[in-house]
Amino acid sequence: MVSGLPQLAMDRLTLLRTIWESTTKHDCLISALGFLSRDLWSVSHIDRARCLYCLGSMGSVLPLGLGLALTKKAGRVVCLEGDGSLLMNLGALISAARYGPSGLLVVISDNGVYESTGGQATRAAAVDLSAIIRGTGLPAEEAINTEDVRRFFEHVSMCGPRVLVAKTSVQEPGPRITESVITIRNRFVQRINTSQQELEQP
Amino acid sequence: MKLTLSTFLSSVCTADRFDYVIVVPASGAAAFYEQAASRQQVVFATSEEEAIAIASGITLGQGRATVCMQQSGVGNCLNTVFTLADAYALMFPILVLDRGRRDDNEVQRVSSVRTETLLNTLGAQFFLMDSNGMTACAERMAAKERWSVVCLS
Repeated sequence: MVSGLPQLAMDRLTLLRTIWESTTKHDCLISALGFLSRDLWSVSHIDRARCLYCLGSMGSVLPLGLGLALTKKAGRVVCLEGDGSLLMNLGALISAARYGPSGLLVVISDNGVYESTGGQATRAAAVDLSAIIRGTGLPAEEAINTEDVRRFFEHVSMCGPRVLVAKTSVQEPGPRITESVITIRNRFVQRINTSQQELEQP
Repeated sequence: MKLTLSTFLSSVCTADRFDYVIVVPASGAAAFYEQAASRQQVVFATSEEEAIAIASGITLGQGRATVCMQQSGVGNCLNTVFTLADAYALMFPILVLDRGRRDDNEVQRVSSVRTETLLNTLGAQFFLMDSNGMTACAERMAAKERWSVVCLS
């Protein structure tokens, strides 16, 4: 645990495990750099081909997922953002609202801090993220426990784009990702191709 | 022949080359943006770095994308080019529309000069000064080389 930071309802690992259990092998998960990617790498060890772990470009997960979703090559595209990385590129919400197709889902792990760089406050605690999201025209739901997360995924089987703001606590991260980005990328692209073929079969 | 932005963009950003044109505001490109929207999917991004990320996602999904931006936006997107598009080998042309060293806006003139250094550092593949060489530029764009630059000065 990072000292001096607030503990809220759900830790990051619990959130990620619940998302993992609520999605299928055809769904893609794209995670923001830092602790989110490190923890998703741990949670997804059974099948890492579904995941694109970002190791840079803070604030780019949502537009990256939007681009992928536009091609309709994958199943659902789940973008895993932190509150800090979302704040770095709020304009992406507007583009997602304008162009986002069905199947584009965004989950924001909102712990109120830039945890990966030492726990500086994002000010997200003083800002109503859900209100900002709704202001762009996107529907926003909130989660404080695993049931809320499961409900979000059950209700969005073919709908989208939609956003879930999940309140999370701070937590020590999992191990660093030891794979190369090209390995991550190639495996992910291969899975997209396989999934597309399977989804197109009658 | 003096090159206009609309002429150039209409010639190289054709529907048989690109499914998606990701754009941010650029002076002189409005006519092309409107024209392209009738034949391709044109996505109006809110910033240059967002445009690079959207094009990266399309490329991941094996779609064909290009990005159009003004030279003043190149600096905005460096991190996304370095740590997303380049790092994950997601190759697509980025078309930089340079307002040039004789632009009537002093700020843009300075931006044009200083951005040229950035483009060289990034490995820009093609600098087009007039309509000569437009076909070659288009072919290189179709080959998914990283940068192309149009200079209207």
